[in-house]
Parts: sequence; C-alpha cells; structure tokens
Amino acid sequence: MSIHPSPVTSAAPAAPVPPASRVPGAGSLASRLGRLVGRDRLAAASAVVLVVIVLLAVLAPWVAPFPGDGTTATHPADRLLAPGAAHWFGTDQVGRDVLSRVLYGARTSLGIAVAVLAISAVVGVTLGVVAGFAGGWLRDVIMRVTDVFLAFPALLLSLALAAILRPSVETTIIAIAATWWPWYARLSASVAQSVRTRPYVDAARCLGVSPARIVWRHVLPNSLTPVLVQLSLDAGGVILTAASLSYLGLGATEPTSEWGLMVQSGQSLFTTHWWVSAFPGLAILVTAFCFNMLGEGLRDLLDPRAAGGRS
Amino acid sequence: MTAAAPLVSVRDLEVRYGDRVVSAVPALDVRPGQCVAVVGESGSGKSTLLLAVLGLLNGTPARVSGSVLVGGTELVGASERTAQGVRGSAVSLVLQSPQGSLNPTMRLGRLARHALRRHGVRGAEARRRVAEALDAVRLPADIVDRYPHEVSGGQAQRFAIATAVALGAPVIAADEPTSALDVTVQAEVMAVLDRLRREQGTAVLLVSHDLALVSTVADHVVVMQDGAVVDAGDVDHVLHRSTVPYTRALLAAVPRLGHGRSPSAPAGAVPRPATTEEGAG
Amino acid sequence: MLARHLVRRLAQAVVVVLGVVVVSFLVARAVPGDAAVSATGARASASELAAARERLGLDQPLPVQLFRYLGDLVRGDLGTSLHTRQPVASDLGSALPASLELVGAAMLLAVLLGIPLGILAARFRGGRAGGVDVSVRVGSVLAVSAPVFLLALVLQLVFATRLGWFPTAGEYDRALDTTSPLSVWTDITVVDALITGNGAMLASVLHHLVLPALALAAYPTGVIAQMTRAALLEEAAQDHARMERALGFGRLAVLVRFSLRAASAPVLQLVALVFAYALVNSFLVESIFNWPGLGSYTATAISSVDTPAIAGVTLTVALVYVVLNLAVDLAQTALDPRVRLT
Repeated sequence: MSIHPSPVTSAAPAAPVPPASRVPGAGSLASRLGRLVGRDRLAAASAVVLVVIVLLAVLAPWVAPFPGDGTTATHPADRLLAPGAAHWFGTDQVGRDVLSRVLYGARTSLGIAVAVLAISAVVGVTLGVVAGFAGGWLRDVIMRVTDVFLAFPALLLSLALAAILRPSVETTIIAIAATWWPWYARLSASVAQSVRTRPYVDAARCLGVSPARIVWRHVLPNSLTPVLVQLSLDAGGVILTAASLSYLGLGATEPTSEWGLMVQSGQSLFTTHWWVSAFPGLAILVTAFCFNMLGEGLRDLLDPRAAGGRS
Repeated sequence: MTAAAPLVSVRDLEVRYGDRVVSAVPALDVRPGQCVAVVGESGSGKSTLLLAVLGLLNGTPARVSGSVLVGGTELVGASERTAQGVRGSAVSLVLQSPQGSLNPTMRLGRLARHALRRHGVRGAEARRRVAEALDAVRLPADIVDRYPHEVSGGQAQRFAIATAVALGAPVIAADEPTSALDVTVQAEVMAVLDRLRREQGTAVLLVSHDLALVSTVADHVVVMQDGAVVDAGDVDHVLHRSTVPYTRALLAAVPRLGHGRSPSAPAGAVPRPATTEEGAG
Repeated sequence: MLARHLVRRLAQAVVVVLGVVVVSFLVARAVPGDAAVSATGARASASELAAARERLGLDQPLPVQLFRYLGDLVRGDLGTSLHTRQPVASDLGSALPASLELVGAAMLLAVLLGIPLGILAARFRGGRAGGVDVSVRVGSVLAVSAPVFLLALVLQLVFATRLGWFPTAGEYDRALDTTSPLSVWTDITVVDALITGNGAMLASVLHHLVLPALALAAYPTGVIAQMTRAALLEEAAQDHARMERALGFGRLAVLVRFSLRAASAPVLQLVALVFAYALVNSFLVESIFNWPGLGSYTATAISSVDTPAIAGVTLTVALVYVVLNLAVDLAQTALDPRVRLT
C-alpha cells in the first residue's frame, strides 16, 4: 500500500489521486451541480459570492468609483484618507481610492488564476494522458519529471523561477503554472491508466480504433470530473500564491492593482493607516475562502470517496 | 420451542430513514443455544435488523420504534452508555470480511485485551479467558501475537468468535460470516459456532443470503423482503413447506435445496453433529 | 521486502535531489546582466572581465558549468552572496536555526491544535452536535485561505502594538546578551536556552515566538485538522470500526484508540509536507516580525536580486523537504504494519 503525498499546495488536504474506476460519467454533472445547492449551503453561498466577485472584476471599469485609480492616476492631495463616504475603503499613500484598486485587483488575481489553471490543466492533462496511456519508458520519464516538480513546495519553485525572470504578472503566471501542472499530470495519468485496462478499451484497441480516438472518447471524459474538482480546489491556492509572490516583490509591479502588492506597500503604515493593507488582504482571504469552500463542496459531491483521505 | 427465556426479543421493530421503512420486524426471539437465521436479498433490511439488535442505530439518522430487548435491556431509545454496556457483553458481532473486521494496526491479543478491559476484565483473569476462548475455537495460543493480515480468513473469523466467547456474550450476531471464505473454511467456522451452541448454549443470530448454509445450521428462519418480514418459522417448515411465493422463489434459485436435501437435526436444544462435511452444506 | 522498499525510496530521492540541483543551478546562473560584472564591479576593464569570466567558469559550456556547480556543492560551496559578500553556505548556516526554531514552534502548535480539532470534527460529524463539525470545517478553511502576511500584520497590530501583550519584533530581548548571555550549542536559541538552563533567555524567546508562530501555524493547523478528520472518518467507515463499536467501545474511543494509529500515516506525511510549506511561508512572516531567519534573509536576497543566495535557499529548503519526506515514509513503515507488505 502506498500513500501519495497530498497536494498541500491546493490549500486543502485533498487527497491523493482517486482511482478513476468510480468516477461518474460527465452526463450526470449538471444534475449533481444542481444538488450542491440543496446539500451544501456553505459551498452554494461561496459560489454566489464568487459570482459577485467575478462580476465586480469584469465590470470594474464601470463600478469602481475612481476607475483611473486602478491604474496610473495619483492624487497626492488626498493621500491616506480614512474610510468614509467618498472613499469607502480610504485612500493609499499616493491618494488612490483603495476600493477602486481592490476591484481592479480582482481582475489581476482572477486573471492570473484563470491563466495558471488553464495552462496547468492543458499541459498536465496532456502529459498525464500520454504517460498513463502510453506506459513503458515514456510513462516513467514523465512521471519522474513530475515527481521532481512535486518535490518542491510550489511557492518555493515559483519563487526561484520568479527570481530568474523579471517581476511581472506574466512571470507570476509562468512561475506558478510551472509548479501546478504536475498535479494534473498525476491525476490524469492515474485516470488514463485505469481506463486503459478496462475491457471495452481493450476491445476497441483490438478492433483497430486509433489511440487518439480512445483517448478522446474514453480517457478525457473520465478525467473531467476529477480535474474539475481539482481546478476549483486549486483556484484559492493559486490566488494565495500569486499574492505571496507579489508581496515578496516577485510578481506584479506598480502601478498594477494587485492585492499582495497592495498589502506589501501599505505594510509599514499598518499601525497608523490599517485600511491600505487590510482591504486588499481581506479580498485575498474572502476569494480564497470561497474557492476552497466551493472546491470542497464539489469534491464531496462529485467524488465523495476522495474526501476520505486515502485510496 | 425451548422453555428458556429469550436472550434477544424483538417486538414491533420499525426502522425508518425519512419516510422509508427499511426494516420492520413484528416479532423475533433468540433463545439460548438457538440459531435464528435472517435471510433475504441485499437491501431487504436484514443487516439493519442486526444493527438494531446491537443498538448501533442510535445517533444515526435512522428513526427506530418498537422494542428490542437484549439480555433484558431495552435498546430502543436507550442512551449510548446503556447500549455500550450491552454491546460486547450481551451480544457480540462477527462480520463478513474476515481481516477487514479486525483492526489492522493491532496484534490480535491487544484487541482482545482492550475489549475485555472495556468490560471490566483485566490481568490474569483476562489472560485465562482469552486462552480458554482460543481453545474453544481451536486456535493456537500464539495467534495473539499476530496482526490480522498475518492470519487466514478462517482464523480471523474464529478469532472474532473467540473474542465474543471471552467476553461471555451469550448471543453472537453474525453478518454473512462465511460468505467471504472457501467452502472448507466455511465449514470450520460453522463447526465452531455449532460446538459453542452445544457446549456453552451460545445463541447465534445469523444474517445470510446463503440458503444452503442456513438449511444446515438454523433452527428458525426469518425471510425478509424490501424491509418487511414475509415469512418466518421453523427451518423445516420455511425451507420445505412454505407457501409464501417469495420464499419459494428464493429456494428455487438454490439448485441443491431443490433436490430436497433435508436439514439435519430438528430445531431446539437438541445436540447436533458438527462435522465438516455437513457444515459445508 | 523492507530493504527493497528502502532502496526504491532512496533511489527516488536521489533523482529528485538531482532535479533540485539543476533548478538551483539555473537560478544561481541567472544573475541579472552579467555575473562577471557583478563580481568585478561596473568599472572593470575588458581583460579583468575576461579573467573573471574564466575564473567563474562562465566561458565553459553549460553542462560543464553544471558539473562544476555539482562539485562545488559537494564541497559545501554555494557561491558568494552578492548582497552580504559572504559565502552563501555560511549565511544560510546562521539563518537556518532561527527559521527551524520558528517553523518548529508553529508546527508543534499546529499538531497540538489540528489533531484534536480533527478528532472533534470527526466525532461530532452529522449528529445533533454537527455544529462542531461545521465550525471546525469553516475554521480550518479560513485558516488555510488567510494570507499569512495579513495574519501576521493583524496579530502584530492587535497583540503587540495595541495591547502590548507581546513584543513587536525580534527573537529575544537583546539586553539579555549582556545580562544573561547564551552559550551556543545548537544555534537554535530556544534549545540552547533550555539545555543550559538559561531561564531569562528561554522566557524571552518564548515570549517573542508566540505571535509569529501563531501566524505561521494557521495554515498547518487547518490542513492537519481537515486531514485528521478525513483520515479518521475513512478509518471509522471500515468494518473494523463497526466491530469495535460492537465490542462496546464508544465513538470517541473507536476514533482515538483504534483509528488514530492507522489514520496517523497520512496525517504524518501531511505534517512533513506542510513543514516545508511553512518554511517557505516563514519568508512572508519573518520580515514582519524581524525574525533573524531564512525568511528575512530571502526577502533581502529577493529585493537585492541576490541570485546565488536565492539558489542556496531554494536548494536548502528543497533538501529539507526531500529528507523530511523520506523520513516520514520510513516512519510510516514503522507505524502501519500493512505498509510493510508492499
């Protein structure tokens, strides 16, 4: 019996890769999502909050009270105003409206999360499917490389990579994606491997069905559910890691609105002007919390046994 | 049948999950030395009945009404503390999966000592009881130093029985105790239970879907379907003269019984031979 | 069986270490601009630059450079920090003990809080007291979602600056260096204070440890509580748990006495994983509390683009991680007799 390490980086003790044999088909996905609302109020509420956050991020240029403050504008005369009627979240040291910057920061954070997860999932699932389906030396090579990447705490490898590249949002995306794809590779490799050994796939192969077609028809649909669960569990972790990188000065740079960067820039003022750091910090907390809550709800619902800790 | 007072007495038991009745048993008695078999397909409510007899439905979403008397203690509506006092000492359990039902991280002897201490038996007395119980189920004394994965399926089941014996539980509730075992090993285990019934008056509440097995060991048979008792009575009556369609359908699915091999001894406290060949039936 | 298991695990660890070395090599060589320029100064002549290049091996092909780097590593040479102008190895040597002290304290807190919380949540799952389970669940997800630097700032503001219960920064009261100086044995202050019986120093270190350790403990506590709960529930769903209940044991006894041991395998592995994670997270906490550890060193290294130092940190933390994982794997073998079978 071997116990795989858990994806600590996914910010939840999600368990090791579940064997795919019990993964339900994609057809029941919609109805299961519907049931989430009835069964898990916390997850459902988190989903609602996330929808609001996404809407606010998309509509930031229209809903932000001072859209210019989200990017380059400064108002030295209005610096460090406490939260009030004109500036609900106060202003920062160059007079920018903190609320506007938090809203613009949502665009940055969610954008990073989407990009990182898209890259990780595409790269990871592709490599994982190849490894799990091809077997042999190719599988060994891919899985050993995966092991090496998994042997770094994600934040550490991101940090090292971000140190090589120049600090920017793109750097953050590359650095985090580089540490995140192995989880998807491992996940889909195990799905692919279990699908590969099923009788109907053997039969299809004997009939001369091409491997590509088998992957498309059988492996990918079976990977959908675990990958979806993993994506929602990971989003919170990606947002936290991105914020940490820019907090350390390895991610987004001024004047980009980025939550981690905003906390960092207000840190020295925290004892006297708490709002400069507190609101972007809370934004990270709330967003990460909702993603984690939703991810857990989805996991329990779609893949209940994986919640158990071991396979 | 026998004059002795029942060790387990179920009356008007009804177990519901929400609006669904999963197990309804109007009356069921288990007397010393008796083997009462509950048969039915999976989902018939037979395992739920077993849980109710162990008081293991307390604290679950199940709603239980009626009466379940075990060793004179009412379990329906009883506190967890009361139920815990009954479990192990008045009724003990043997489960289907032999190794799975023993804690994988404990040597067998430690498990037995823990269980005995739970019921106030410790030290030399505990060791004596374990030794006697192992002897009664024909297990070597040094098995106490093994882990569950180091013993065979039959040994694991006999050890579970030995634990019940050491605890002095007069009733053994057995949930498909042999269906994970080879035929010859099945026979060993059933022979052990048979001997305990004969020599110590232990009663067995057997839950099984294996009618062939039931026909050879049970005195009394209860047939359940979809949560309800559809047939009950003397083993000879139920297996050979029942007019209940469901019972006949179940029997028809067992080829050997269809050939009319009759169960050995009549019901009751009459001693019955316990040879391996017969136990295998 | 056991020997083969060990050999396989060791071989895997070696492959991982080699990968770690390659990454840290790439980081170390990624000096912005030209390493030769950084080594000689901006006003060096062309011949001086060429000499420095040759001395640093930068004129060699990359594989040769990697090989040299490996050789240097074996001799304990991690290069020279561009910021402190000291050998990176000795910088790390003086920074690591304080970090281990902080992370160790945080992990101790996390285990002491997380495992009982996980047990509680598992015990009261569903049922009438399901509120306990929900509270632990929400609490642990909150702990896992909170940016550690925000937590550190808030703790510092509330309990140090405003209430004054704890010191704002530092590892211990520097005045003690003269009044009750510490004799150094392990370089880990709290351990040294303990073994030399330096009560004043011990009290001071513990007092300073509370806030940063609490901030750092949040994430590990959350994941450990969740993992403990999940692993216990998994064990409690096994047949043996039903058997134990049938023997008269209560739910809590089944969890603690019979399931915790088997459940401790994944929890233990998680502790090792999270330890490394906390070590990296300490980078975000130490500079806030001015804790003289690896985190403060790394923060400075990052802001001064000190790539040899960053490479050294990467290598060190990754090695700690690999060694911990290996150790846990072996410990698991001892804890769960079933593991020995495979």
